[in-house]
Parts: sequence; C-alpha cells; structure tokens
Amino acid sequence: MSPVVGGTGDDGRDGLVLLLWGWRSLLTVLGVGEFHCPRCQADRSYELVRPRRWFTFFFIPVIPLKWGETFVQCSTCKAGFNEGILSTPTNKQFSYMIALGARAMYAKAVAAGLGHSEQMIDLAVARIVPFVDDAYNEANLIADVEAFKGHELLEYLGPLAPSMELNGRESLLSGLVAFAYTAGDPSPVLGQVISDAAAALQLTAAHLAGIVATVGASQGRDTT
Amino acid sequence: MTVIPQAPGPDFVFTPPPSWGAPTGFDPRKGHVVDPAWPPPPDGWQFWTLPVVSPATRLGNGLNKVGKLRIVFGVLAALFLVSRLTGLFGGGPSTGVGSCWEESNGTKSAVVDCSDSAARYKVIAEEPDPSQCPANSDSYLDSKEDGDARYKCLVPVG
Repeated sequence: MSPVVGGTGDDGRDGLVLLLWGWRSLLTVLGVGEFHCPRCQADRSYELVRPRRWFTFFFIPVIPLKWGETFVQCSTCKAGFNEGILSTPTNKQFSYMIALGARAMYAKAVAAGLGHSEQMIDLAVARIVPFVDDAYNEANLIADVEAFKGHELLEYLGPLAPSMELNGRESLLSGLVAFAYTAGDPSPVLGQVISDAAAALQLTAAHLAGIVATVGASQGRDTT
Repeated sequence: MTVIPQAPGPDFVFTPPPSWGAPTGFDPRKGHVVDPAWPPPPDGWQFWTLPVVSPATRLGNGLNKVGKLRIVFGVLAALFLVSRLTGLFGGGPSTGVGSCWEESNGTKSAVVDCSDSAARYKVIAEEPDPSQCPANSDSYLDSKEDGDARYKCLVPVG
C-alpha cells in the first residue's frame, strides 16, 4: 500500500448530534380592550387570544399545528376566560348604565306630574346625585325630563337587569317608591311609572307590592 | 334623537364622538344605550371603524412577544441548522466511505466530486490501522492530523 498523507479533515458529521424538539402554544392576539376581571374583581385590560400548538425545534416554533379555542386573557392576573365574559359590563360601564337608568326613572316620575313643586324637584335631584356626580342639579333634571320624553323606561332599565343583583334592583326601585309616596299616594300616571320601572327591572307585581309595603312601613304609612 | 346604524360587521368597533362621555368599551351591541342628553354627533361621523390593533403572536406563557418576523427568522434558522446537520445544502462533499480524492501532492490531498476528472482515489473503508484495509485497497489516507483516528482505505478511481 502506498500511503497518501493529509486530507481535508473532519466533515463535522461524525460526532454526537443533540436535537431538541417539543411543542408549545403560541397565542395570536385578535383584539384588546377593557373588561371586568372576575378574578381581580376590577376593570382590567384584556387580550382576546387564539392559541395554536407549534412543533418546536431547538425551542424555535417551526411547524404550526392545531388551533385552540379563542379565549380572553386578563393582562394583569393572566387568567383566561370564555369569550362570553366580554358581555359583562365593566364597573365604568355599569356605573354609566345605572346612572342613566336612575336619571330616566326620576325624569319620568317628575314628568308624571309630581315634580311641579320645587321641593320635589330638589328631592329628585338628591336621589339622582348618588348615581351620577355632585354637579348634577335642577337644570340637569329639567333637561332630562325633556331628553327622556318619548323614550321607554325599559330602554334604560332593561339592560341593567341581567347584570344587577336582586337586592340592587330592589334598592333602586325602593328609592323611586319612597320618592313617589313622599307627598301621599301617587297619581295613576306616577303609579304607572313605578310599575314600568319594576317590570323593566324584572321585578314582579308581587315583588313591587312588597317593596311598596316595606317603604310605606319605613315611612310610617299604612299601605295595605 | 341619535340613531346609530347597524355595525357593518362583527370586526368593527364602536367609536363614539369625543363630545359624548361614553365609558370605555361602550358598544350598542352589548346593550349600552346612548344618553339622550348627549349632543348630536358631528356630521358624517363614522360610528363603526375597523380596529387599529394588528394581530400579534406571543408565547403561551405570556412572557415574551414573538412577532411574525421572528417566527420567520426562527423557521429559517431551523432550516439552516437542519441543512447543516444533514448536509443537504452547502455542506460540501462527504469525506467518508464513498468519497473521492485527488492525487496527493505529497503532503496534502483534497476531497473532490467523484465525477470530477481530478478524482484519483475512492474511499472504500475506514479502519483504525492501514493493515486492516481490504485486500483490494492499495493505498490509504492518513487524516490523523485532522483529528480523525481512522485511516481511509483507497482504491483507484476508474
């Protein structure tokens, strides 16, 4: 044999090759916004995301695999929720809705004839202010009486009912009943406003009767 | 009274006029009602617009954001790595069994393509000792200097 000296050397393929592969999920962000996080019990920003499994090679996602179900992820606590959570109003939205409902209710009551006295208008304003802000005044109420004319109470109270606890709805209606009975038994027109409000808040006639009796008792009246 | 048109599609978002004190996320589709005390919207106001958020992709643990470019880069890097490991692209000719070599200049020899006219020898085996080369091998290649402990047993090409 005649020796041949030298060579180009190792081609790099004779050693042990370590391959790392695996799977992991990547989230595609479809949208962002603000929602009421049930875990944080507060308004938080969220991301609407859709997960997808990827085959990874050396931790790098290489091959896209199966899509997962879209879900909402809280940006603060990272908890995931069904997309339906977005139909629950945020605290800000709920505050807006309840303020609008209260304004509509008392504007209708004042328009029903009770608010011709200065004292009753002041009383109505005092009952609305806790739902809005301190800047709300008599002029605002008069403007609301005009603004809500031609609108049904159901339009403003209806959306509140599904997201409001029963005692909250009772409390809201109790305020109106107390207001309506301040100057004695309400007129039939005002009584209709109360009935409309109760129906819009998904409270039955029997429930309303109970509220009237309770409010009457607290005012020292006989409502039987 | 303000009338809000129907949303042109589910992807559209409601955009209230700035003069409205609408809370964040106000959306008539969710049952949110317009305050009748709000002023009328400006003429030609577009209530429904497409969101400006462009989809992004991130890792499932929420720690890192991964854009499309990074995914493309990752795929290309992985392909490059695989190609280097398998020698599919740009890996150069093999130097193992079956490879061909040019005539030695006395100290060095280089691997060449077997179809190359310069190919003089072909590797038929790799052995730890030249004496173990097959009988038909009349020469060998010593590549110990390059870290290969084996000898390449050669036969003439053609």
